[in-house]
Amino acid sequence: MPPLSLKKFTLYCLFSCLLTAPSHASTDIEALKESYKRPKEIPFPEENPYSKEKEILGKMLYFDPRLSRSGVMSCATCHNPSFDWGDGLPKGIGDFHKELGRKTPTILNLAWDELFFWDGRAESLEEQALGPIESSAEMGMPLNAMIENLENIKGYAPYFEAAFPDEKNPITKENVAKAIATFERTVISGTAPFDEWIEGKEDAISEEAKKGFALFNGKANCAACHSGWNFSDNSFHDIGIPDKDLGRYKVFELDSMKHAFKTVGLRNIERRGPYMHDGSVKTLKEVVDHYNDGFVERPSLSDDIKKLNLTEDEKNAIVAFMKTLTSKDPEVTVPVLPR
Amino acid sequence: MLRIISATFAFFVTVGSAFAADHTIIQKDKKFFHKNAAGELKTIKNLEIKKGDNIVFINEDKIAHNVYGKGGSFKFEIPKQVTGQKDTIGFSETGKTKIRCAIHPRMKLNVKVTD
Repeated sequence: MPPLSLKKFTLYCLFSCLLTAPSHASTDIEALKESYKRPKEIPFPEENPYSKEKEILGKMLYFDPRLSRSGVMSCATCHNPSFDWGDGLPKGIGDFHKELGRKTPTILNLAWDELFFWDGRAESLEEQALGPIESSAEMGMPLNAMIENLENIKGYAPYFEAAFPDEKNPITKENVAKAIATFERTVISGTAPFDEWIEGKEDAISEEAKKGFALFNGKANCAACHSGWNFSDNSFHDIGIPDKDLGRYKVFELDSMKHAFKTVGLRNIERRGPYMHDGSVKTLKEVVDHYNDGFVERPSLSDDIKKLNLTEDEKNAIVAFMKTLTSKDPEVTVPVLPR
Repeated sequence: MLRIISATFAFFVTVGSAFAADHTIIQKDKKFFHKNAAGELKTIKNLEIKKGDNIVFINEDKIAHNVYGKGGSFKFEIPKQVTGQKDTIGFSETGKTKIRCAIHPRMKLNVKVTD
């Protein structure tokens, strides 16, 4: 099959849009491509601006198991760079090897996120960073005890002093959070074949994947939520997973937030299975099957979830497209920790 | 569809005073826009209003939104605002609040109410 020309691709999108009248489809392929372009800079908040020293300290803290009650669990135990900053398990494993209630989310590309955790209960990455450390189900470390531990590790003092040079006593829980959040903001997925295609390299992705992209933005309506360069608008929806977890409703008692969870980004999604907040879906094909007609219908189901009537070829094309989001990321070095 | 809701914690319905100004905020493309007197739309992140003023929210998006405000003594919510729905929030006290969509939290607006 010859490559789709820009004109043919535009027509394909238009045809797909006209067939299904999706609410978020665009017929302007160039504008559509523009909306998926990678950002040029990492956004850091005014309250916690970037410094190299903070990133170095944050990376040490992120990989340090002495921030946990057991002394053997670090942030990286669950958010493991070897598994695209997740753990590859259906649900996380916490303190005492007990299974947690939800899948471990990746920390990839969090610099662009709005609210944190599956249910959005943390307003900032700094707030999020301390949550699992303190949680009795996860790392189980009271924050005062964490600070005491860090003060007793003499080798940490110069790193805190360098990261927070204006502070007399920089070893604080607030600064631990700021340093970890700064490091986490630097964890970004690399350039994928999709990005090369967006930049004009027409043969960077297959014709099937291009059709998948058109479906993603058209008939399948995925882009209603999975939009922007990281393929998430950070919205919260009940997508009809048949479990009893009430999700964001526990944080925000609004009926439409029952069973609602945060929209995940799709970068490197091929390597991040199993999928969904409960890790109940094993493959990307099964994910598409779920959105096609496999969801539970209930009052809180998102207005954006409707039966799609996708053909097998269309489902395969969407999966082919999602696989173009996989990047060859640089190997991660593990820091030597202060003693 | 038109509803009027008070933004104070007391939750009483306001009808607006003779001097109250209405500030129109449009929800579109998952963003908040301010609509000026000429009908022009401009994205907005911060809005300063006077005590007694109203904010009129009109959902011109193709999807449903939520509007809630928390901060200081302000606490209000429009649980679900469907396409075309119009709701008015009255601000009868001074202070600051952050308005957000619970479904699409990138939609946020800081409101300062002065004397």
